[in-house]
Amino acid sequence: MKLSIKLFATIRLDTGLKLVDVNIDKPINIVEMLQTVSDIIDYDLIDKLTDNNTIIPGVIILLDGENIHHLDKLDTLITKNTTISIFPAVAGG
Amino acid sequence: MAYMGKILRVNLSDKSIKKEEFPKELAKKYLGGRGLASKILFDEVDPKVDPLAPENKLIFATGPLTLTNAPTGGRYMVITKGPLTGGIASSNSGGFFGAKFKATGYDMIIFEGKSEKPTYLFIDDKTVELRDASHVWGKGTEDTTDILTADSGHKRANVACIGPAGENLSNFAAIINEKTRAAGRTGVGAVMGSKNLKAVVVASGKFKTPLDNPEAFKAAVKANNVALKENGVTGEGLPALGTKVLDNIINSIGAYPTRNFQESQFEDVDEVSGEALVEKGYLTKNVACYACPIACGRKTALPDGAEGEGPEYEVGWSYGASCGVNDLISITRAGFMCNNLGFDAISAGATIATAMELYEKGIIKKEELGVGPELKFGSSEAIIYYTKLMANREGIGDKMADGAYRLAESYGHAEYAMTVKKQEIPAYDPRVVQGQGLAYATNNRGGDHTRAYMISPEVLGIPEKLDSQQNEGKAGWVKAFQELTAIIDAAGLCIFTSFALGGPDYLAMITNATGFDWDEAEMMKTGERIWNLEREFNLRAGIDPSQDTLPDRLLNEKIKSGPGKGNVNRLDTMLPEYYQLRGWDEKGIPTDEKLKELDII
Repeated sequence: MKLSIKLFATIRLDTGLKLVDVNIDKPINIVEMLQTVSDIIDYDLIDKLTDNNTIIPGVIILLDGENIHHLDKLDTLITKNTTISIFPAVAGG
Repeated sequence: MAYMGKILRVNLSDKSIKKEEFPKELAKKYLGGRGLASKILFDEVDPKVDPLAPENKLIFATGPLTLTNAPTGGRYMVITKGPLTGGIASSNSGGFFGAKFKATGYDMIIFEGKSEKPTYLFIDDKTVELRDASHVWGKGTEDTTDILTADSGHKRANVACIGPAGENLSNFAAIINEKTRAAGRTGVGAVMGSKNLKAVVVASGKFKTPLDNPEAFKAAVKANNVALKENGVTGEGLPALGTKVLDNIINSIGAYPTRNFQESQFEDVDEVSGEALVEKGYLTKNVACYACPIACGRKTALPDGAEGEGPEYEVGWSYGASCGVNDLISITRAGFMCNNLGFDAISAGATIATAMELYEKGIIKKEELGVGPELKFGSSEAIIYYTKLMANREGIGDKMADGAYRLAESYGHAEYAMTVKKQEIPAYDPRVVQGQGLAYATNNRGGDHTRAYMISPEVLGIPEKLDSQQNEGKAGWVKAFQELTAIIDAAGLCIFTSFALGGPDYLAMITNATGFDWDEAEMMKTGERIWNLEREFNLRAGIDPSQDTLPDRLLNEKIKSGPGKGNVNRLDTMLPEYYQLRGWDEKGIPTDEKLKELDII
């Protein structure tokens, strides 16, 4: 399975990376996905986005546009080719 | 306490200037700013008056926390009957003007009548006088600010003024202070223009805001500043990327209105996003308003040397995705132009987007454009050209200066205007963010997001994450947000504080500043009173509840693609509950019982 992980806002500015592609051979949950990406980009996404195994208020993680808050949160399983968008707690307009 | 205790009443017809006692008892019911000024408008102005007639009044109002070190304590509001919606208009602005005006010793200015010739009001610690403005009439807000600052003899004078858009009575003209901060929405600049009032200049004020309990106030401010600094939005995101961090978020969930809401995702968002503004090197530094620890303002410079502020998220969208334009330089330049010409940049860009759809559908004919570029989606040339044309009311710009609704209606196609109560809807598609749709539909100033920013819970998850696609329970959230926002506006603060602060945090600052014996329920009741008073003004102005709706496109045309595919806004499932929670009758009219309970009648 191919995961296209889009990085935004301060994560993008800090790392200079917009997009990370990851191939996985079995379903993984959000925490495992974040750990995998963190290792690749050398940037601690777990610390940036979670606190005590919960999503920090304001953090947005979308699977094909759908917020994981309305799926199984950090336990959501990724089981197919997916575009994942990751935003730290940053927004306001 | 927390008030200067004086109001200026300036009659532009007979040039009289009166200094009146501040209505302290009314302040306990309406707090200040938007609340108190709306009450004065309600009492003194016939809601059926022509907004651009001398009988209308224009009120500049500060709140009790303006000119304090409460975080963002520097804001002022302009309240009047507005020409765009025909209802109550009130626009909030930051920068420094509000605080510097209050420092001259007044809480509020009420402008009445109409000056025979262009004039401006000058205020310093010794003088309040009307002066001739003939030499700046016709000039942009940048030159006007520079010239009137030089004329004042005070290098650090603060100027709030209109540009050509206000002089030419565009229905979406803004009032601009310090060249880049706008009391933007609902056409308050046109009312100023109708009175031949070019500017208000304030200088050398030495007063400070008296506080009821300075020590307790200081402690509350300190705690709230810590909360703002530690919050991911106000402490990190807004300082780093400004409001434009939203482009990618809103686009990713499929709620980023594109080409006049015909689509909900913009294929070139990466070219115009907040991240792009940084990566392309146009952002030069952050700027903060008075007493603001957030500093979301963007100082920008373009490759040709042009400098200014912005674009903010809304401007970047209205001239960007809304017009299908992916050229960040032109979008930024259009934002600079709106500041200098004195336009509300949301309505200006959205009106051009409406004109583009009318043109592409063959409703606006090529002959009507004269020598102008074609009004095609994606044309960066068009957004610049027609912005200028609207400000001068030249050619088709004359019709466009009346706003998207009246433009589309003049061709018999009002359905292409993405407006509520004739004001252009901002940058969130309510087919995906359902509660925001209810907030638009019930907003006392029409299509606008800042009276109940439902994006916060529905998209950002602050204070908790709601499912944006669901309707259940949204009415209660919208009502609560409308009331808390009314309090923030009336206090003289910026709504961005609400990403990190809640009711008790505001209450601590307000009560320790004013000495009011309020609990949180009384504070929220005050917000409810302000909301109902505005509603009552609008009803008396002839805006009936049938206008609590959204454009047909958003209610009946399904989103074609993206995460929101197949969605419409289901307003009909939320509006009855909203009326019920408000204590209004089923038709949306506040009951006598409710108005008496709130002491409005």
